[in-house]
Amino acid sequence: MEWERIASPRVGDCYYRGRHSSGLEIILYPKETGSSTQAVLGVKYGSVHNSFQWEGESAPEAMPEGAAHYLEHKLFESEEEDAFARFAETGANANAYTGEESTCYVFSCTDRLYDSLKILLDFVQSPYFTEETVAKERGIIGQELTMYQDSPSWRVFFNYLRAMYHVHPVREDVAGTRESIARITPAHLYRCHEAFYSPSNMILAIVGKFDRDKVAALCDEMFRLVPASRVEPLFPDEPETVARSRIEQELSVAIPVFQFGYKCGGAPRDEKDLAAMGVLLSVLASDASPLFRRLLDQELINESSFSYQYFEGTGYATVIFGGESKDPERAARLIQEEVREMGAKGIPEEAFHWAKRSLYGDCVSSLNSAAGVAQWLTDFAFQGQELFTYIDALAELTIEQAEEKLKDLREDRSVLSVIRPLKSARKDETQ
Amino acid sequence: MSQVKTYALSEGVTLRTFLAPAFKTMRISVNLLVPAREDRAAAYGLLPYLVTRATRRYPDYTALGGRLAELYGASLGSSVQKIGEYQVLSVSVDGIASCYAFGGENMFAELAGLLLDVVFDPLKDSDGLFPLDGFLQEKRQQLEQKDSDFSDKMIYAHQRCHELLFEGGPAGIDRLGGRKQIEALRREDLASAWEELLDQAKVEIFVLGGCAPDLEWFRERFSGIGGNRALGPVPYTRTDFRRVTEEQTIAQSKLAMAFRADVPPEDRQLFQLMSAVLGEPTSSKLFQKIREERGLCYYCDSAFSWVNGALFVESGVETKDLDRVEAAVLEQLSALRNGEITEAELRGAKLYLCNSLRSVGDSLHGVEGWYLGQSFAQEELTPEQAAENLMKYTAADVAEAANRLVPAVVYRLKGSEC
Repeated sequence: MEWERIASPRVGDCYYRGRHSSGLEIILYPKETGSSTQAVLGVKYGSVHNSFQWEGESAPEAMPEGAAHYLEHKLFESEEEDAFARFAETGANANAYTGEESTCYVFSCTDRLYDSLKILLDFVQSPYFTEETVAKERGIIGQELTMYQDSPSWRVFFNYLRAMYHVHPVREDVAGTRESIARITPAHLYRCHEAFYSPSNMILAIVGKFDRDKVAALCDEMFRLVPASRVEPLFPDEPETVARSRIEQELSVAIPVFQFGYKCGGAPRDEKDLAAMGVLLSVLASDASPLFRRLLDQELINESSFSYQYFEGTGYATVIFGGESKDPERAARLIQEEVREMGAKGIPEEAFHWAKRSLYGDCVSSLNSAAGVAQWLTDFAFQGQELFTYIDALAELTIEQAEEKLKDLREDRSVLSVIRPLKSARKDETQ
Repeated sequence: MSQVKTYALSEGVTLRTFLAPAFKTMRISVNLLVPAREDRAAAYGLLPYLVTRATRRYPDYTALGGRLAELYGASLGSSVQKIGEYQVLSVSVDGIASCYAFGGENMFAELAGLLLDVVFDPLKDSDGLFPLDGFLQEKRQQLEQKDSDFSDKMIYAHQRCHELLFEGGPAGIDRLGGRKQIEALRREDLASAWEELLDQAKVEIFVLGGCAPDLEWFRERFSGIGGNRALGPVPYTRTDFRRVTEEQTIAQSKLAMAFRADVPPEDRQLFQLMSAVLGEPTSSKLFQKIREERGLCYYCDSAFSWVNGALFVESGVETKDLDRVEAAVLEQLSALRNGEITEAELRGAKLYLCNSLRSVGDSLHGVEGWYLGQSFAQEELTPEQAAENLMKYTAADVAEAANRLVPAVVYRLKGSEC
């Protein structure tokens, strides 16, 4: 197997990237000093890939919402010994998670890497579903959904996306709903596996201690030659406007929780775009920003919950600010005013300089964690981006490039999502 | 794992270093450990947040934030936790190692200097009081933290179970103090409290990661503070069993169960292992029998705290299944007590714990957390020693440990949909 070496003199690290004959992309990031090694097998199949078109077939297919997440749960089971039991034999700590854009199967280990890797590569390629086991899992996933129903941070986020997007599937909960998962059958799961779980639609990233040749040999053993994926995910045309500008829900909380943000264009983005938006958000709302100070001074946010992010993927992108606030409307108004003012006056040079340094420091710090690096590499690779290019883009970013991103924050495309305490709360349900 | 070195700077101050150039960051923390007291918990709980707001050198919160951003996004942290009967008040600074600072800064000197200012020179006004605006801000945020804990039902259920377990004793005092005590705080109450803390607390300093500290620098600055305190676990007292059910308008009910045990320090790993066999890794009894086989819940986990002498089992369940899940947990505990432990369960638990212990040195927070916990035991263990210890236990040992658990609390947060 041929390996491309990718190095960053800036952060003093390097890694290797290669394409296995099965079509699998392999990324190997050596970290000789830690004790644990992290492996991620990522599949480019997430909750937004619910509709797809098979090559050569006339009609598209649509799956019940939550199918990708359901499949992730069920793949751990097999006809003989489930994957968790197999990992217990090697001592690896295994897990999996489904997001909007991908499903990732991960383990970390301090010993027996290749045994654990073999289990990972095997179970993800070995679907085994029966009516009975799929029905049993429905109860577990149902409880997971119920848990999220009570979670203010989860609800405020998905309500926000539901208000922002008219038709894009990102507006649906990753795990689906009780109604949608009730419709999922073994046939659905086999079909989704067949459609998306081909090596050419996967990335294997390992961060830690390994031998490249051994990893390649194991992939030779475990990956059969499978034709490249023959399905194309389908996305409806999403209008540029928001579906609604306000959304509210009541929950058993003691303080309101809000998210306010802007719908941005859904066109593909590169590392420079990410760096520019990251710096802009840091200038706007980091601890050192005048906005953060104003929000605090007016008692509209608290330090432990306030956050901001650029949430983006295939055909969607949004800038979100949020946290706990006794007056979400006023907090949103202040954010809006700051964006407007910065649009008129431009970004202060000193703040731009600090934000660049701060984001660079965050990147360097993140490279300490094998788990963090593995996830970062996988996410970037799925979007056609590269980690060190992003770090370089940060260093080379100009103030004009960051200011350009302000145009993406349009007031007529903003949404405020709020979770409020129950009006009918009993006395013991308030603080 | 690189070696952790321990230096006694004075009777009350311990410095631990974990110098590992492979880390791209460094962390310096000062942890003040004091016995929790009902009348001081709220005041002490506010102090780490107050002193990290502004210093005499950086008297403005935003200017201090700007300086941290300029130092490559360094962060000044503050936290309050409870470990057993102690309130642990921490201030810390994290930042990148000097070799990644393209501006040529000596990051250790910069960050240690900032932390030193926080500890010894926090901003006060001409009356020697913490400035009013900062005091009001932090007091409000402490109260909002309480609101936040209420809003997260997993946290809330755990806190209620913990409160019930230790009600009336120092271990039951909330880490931030009670809501009423926070509301009643006055600026004057805090004026001398920081100095009082520095004078009386057991001080644990950590210098970790990619840096090369000068030990004398620390000795000169920190050896004059701290009180000589022997730390230890919560004394075991057998209490009556308590069953409490509360209702809220939530979709999923929460079940939190607590068991007590008298665990001498030499049995720490045995009880960790027992908890792991019961309900930590995916090979454990609670995961396999209650979640996987019966599909009763999404999570059902156990956790053991040696300092608290307590094992907690927590789960999120449908209201109609509360009785079934509680019975199922007791059934699995009973199986454990009867020695019904498979080879796979025991091996899975041991390997899971060994994996976690060997990974302690992979994160600076992991190292700090481990050694802070060790300071409560008379004989400190390295993670590697702990891993070695637990490998020797048999299924019979685990069963014997399970038989020493005494049921103490069943707390149910019962959901009633809107």
